[in-house]
Amino acid sequence: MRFRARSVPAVAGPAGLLVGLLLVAGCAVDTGRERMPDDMSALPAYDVNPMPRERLRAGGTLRWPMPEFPTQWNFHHVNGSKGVVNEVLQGVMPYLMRSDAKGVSHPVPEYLADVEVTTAPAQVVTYTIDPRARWSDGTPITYRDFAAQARALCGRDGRYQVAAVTGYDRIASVRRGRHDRQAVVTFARPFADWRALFTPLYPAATGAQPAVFNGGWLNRLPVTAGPFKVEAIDRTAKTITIVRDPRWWGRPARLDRIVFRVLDPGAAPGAFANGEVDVLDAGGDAGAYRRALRVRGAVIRRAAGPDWRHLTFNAGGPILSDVRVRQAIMNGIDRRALAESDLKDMDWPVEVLGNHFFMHTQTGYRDNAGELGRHDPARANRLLEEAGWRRAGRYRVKDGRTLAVRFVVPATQHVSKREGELVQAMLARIGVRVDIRPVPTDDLFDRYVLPGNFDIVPFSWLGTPFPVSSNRAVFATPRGGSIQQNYSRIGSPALDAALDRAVAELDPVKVRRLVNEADRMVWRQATVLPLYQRPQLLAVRGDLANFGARGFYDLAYEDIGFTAPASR
Amino acid sequence: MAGFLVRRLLNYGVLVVLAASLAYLLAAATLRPRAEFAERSPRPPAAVVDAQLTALNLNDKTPLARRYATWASGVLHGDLGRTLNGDPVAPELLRRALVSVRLLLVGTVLGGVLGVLAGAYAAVRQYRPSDRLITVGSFVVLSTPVFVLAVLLQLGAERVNQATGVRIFEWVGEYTPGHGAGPLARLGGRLQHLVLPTLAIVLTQVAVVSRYQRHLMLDVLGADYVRTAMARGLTRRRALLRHGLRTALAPVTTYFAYTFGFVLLGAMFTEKIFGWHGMGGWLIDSVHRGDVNAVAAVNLLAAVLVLLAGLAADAAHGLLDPRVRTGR
Repeated sequence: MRFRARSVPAVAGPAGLLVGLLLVAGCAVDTGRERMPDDMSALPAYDVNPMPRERLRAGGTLRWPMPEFPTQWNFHHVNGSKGVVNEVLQGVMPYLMRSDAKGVSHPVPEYLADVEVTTAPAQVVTYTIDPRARWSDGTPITYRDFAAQARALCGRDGRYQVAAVTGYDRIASVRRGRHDRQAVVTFARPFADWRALFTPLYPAATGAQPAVFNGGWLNRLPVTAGPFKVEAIDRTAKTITIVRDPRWWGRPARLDRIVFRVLDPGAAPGAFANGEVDVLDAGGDAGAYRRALRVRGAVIRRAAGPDWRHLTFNAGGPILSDVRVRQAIMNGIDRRALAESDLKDMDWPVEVLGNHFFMHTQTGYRDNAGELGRHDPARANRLLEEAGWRRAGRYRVKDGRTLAVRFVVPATQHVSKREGELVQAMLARIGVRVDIRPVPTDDLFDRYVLPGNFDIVPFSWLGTPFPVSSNRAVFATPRGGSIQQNYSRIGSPALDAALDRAVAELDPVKVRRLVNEADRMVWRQATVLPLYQRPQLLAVRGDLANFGARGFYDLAYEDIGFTAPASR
Repeated sequence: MAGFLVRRLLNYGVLVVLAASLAYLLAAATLRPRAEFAERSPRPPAAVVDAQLTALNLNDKTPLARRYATWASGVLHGDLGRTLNGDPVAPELLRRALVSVRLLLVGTVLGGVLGVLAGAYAAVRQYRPSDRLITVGSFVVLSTPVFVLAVLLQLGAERVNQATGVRIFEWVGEYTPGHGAGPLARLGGRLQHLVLPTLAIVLTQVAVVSRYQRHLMLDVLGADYVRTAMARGLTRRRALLRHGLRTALAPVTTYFAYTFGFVLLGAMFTEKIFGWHGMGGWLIDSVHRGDVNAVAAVNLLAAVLVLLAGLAADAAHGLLDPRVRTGR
């Protein structure tokens, strides 16, 4: 059973495509020590029990449940860009960049000896590949791999069934540098999130032919290049086993193997309690959380996750098309009360989110909510009066029409339903009637959100370290009948321009300023009301180190290990 | 009896074609694989989605009749199409079906046999304490949803493991992956993993079958031919076993044959709670995903299973009831 509506659109992880806005143009990639933004919160950014490798014992098996069994292992294929695929691939494929806890990406030295960026006359990124880096079949990793990947993903050849072309469509050329192990990537238009590109990297043979790109990674991983390699894919038991790769040129993996195993969320708590898996996602439901608390030897690691809960308003509907009404509703909602209700069983500090692009724990976060983020029924009433909605009995009316909005909730999700009931009570006080419409969970997006058959809908977006390029589809003005992921169905030329400027800016400080400018515009148009950054609660064995609730922090799989001697 | 079976077979063949076709049409008309792509983030390019859907024969822009023709001609050639992930359906169907059989066969058969015995015993001991115990027990099990039963069993097993300090019970999946043990140890591991799910299945199965069997047996107990048999000097035990139980068994066999087909598909909760990846879970997941070809394939198999169950029931009925063999 999946909970699509909870964390719908967006792929987890760095893979999520798009890179962090950082990096001062023209200098090597090592920066990253930025001053703390004023609004950096106290929420834990990650909680992975960091431990020097020497303190970990060599060996051991990590048994890691996953929600579904992937068949397509080409992450860039339309069927491959999933969170589960990413989780496995990070152990076996070249992830050239790794995000730190603040969502800032850094090159991984095992793959990249050096990265240089120049901005004039065009953006050019020069990747110098570590001379030891090889694919498992012995071929060195070279600029050819970069070139083939860029060509396959640029979107100009329809035979490649790509998941997305973002960023790659701005690449003008990929050429050989001073030697085979240097790739010079020239951009036709500058791209702020260039660090999201080429991760994971696939061998040249994959990008060279559509048939291999589409079918070569179906149910198998023909080559790898990471601390682990694939030992077995068991399609009957739905497990994937990766083992330490002796040919890995970096620090050898501490673990012997990692077994990924498909487990229904309903079965996971029992399996964890009986010691049959080492990891349990305890954030999904309170039952799992309470059960995990009681398991001997287990700890719960907590961090602020990359995804955020919010209410999306349909500005294409008849009532919410008036910005004053949307703003009034925002002021009429007590976000803190909603967040407290959602998080009450989780032992988690409640903080409301004031940004649509950056999370609390991310470099660049500022609270841009201003007046609209406050619970202010008086202001809400005033705005509604201005908009011509007059009190008549319990609810307001205008031109014989009652001020009523449809609050659509997936029927199987109690959290959404409770949010609906709270909003109903809050908005009744400013004279707005809320009709809660439970709909089949599978139909939520397809039949209600996408066609605009709603006024308010709660769900979560999954954040990435690359907020601009991944969020453009959410806030760009709908064009030619295509709303992309802009479910509120409006935008503005100014906002589009601000997003375009941000995505083309290479100075990370400026990018953050531009993104926050865009964010203030989104607040003013009052289409998406952020509630809170969702916590990640991961129950793990207490002796597991360098692993846990990771937030934006990308794990180095070779450093995961157990501290205590084996008891199993 | 051969003629009887051939006639039945023809009837069933027509029914299977009808059932499978209707199931496909219903799935193709109502499920929306396109939604699965539309909800991805980042959103895949529209042209890619269309190309992918067309390649999988799932594109809602293709007329339903054309999609059905493509599917049907594929099925006639043994090709059940591909899943939404591009995986061939037929091998996955086989894999899943075998998983289900391995999960359910022992439990269902054992449960059926024990159920018959318990029901018959309860009927013979009508209104005595042992009958009441069986009755109360089976009603308790019947009123417990199977996933609750499974979780209770797991909690109990967990207690035992904790008390003994040894992991006597393991229940996730068919076996523990990633262990290069010898064939004997592997078999042992599989049996160890079978214990709890089998227990859950046996309990439910016994509860249901024993109820049927008890009532059928009670009908038979007072029947003339049983009384006649006893009058002819047979002991009560022999009369009940040879004449009573045998007669009462015939309807249960039919019932049992049909239930096995449905148990195979309906074991979703057992599969999920115990981490097996069989048919029931696949059907539900595929419906959620909008995976038309997978849903159609499962339905096709279900139709065939019902046919086979019917045949098996007819054959068993024939063996137990001589009137069928001689042809009425």
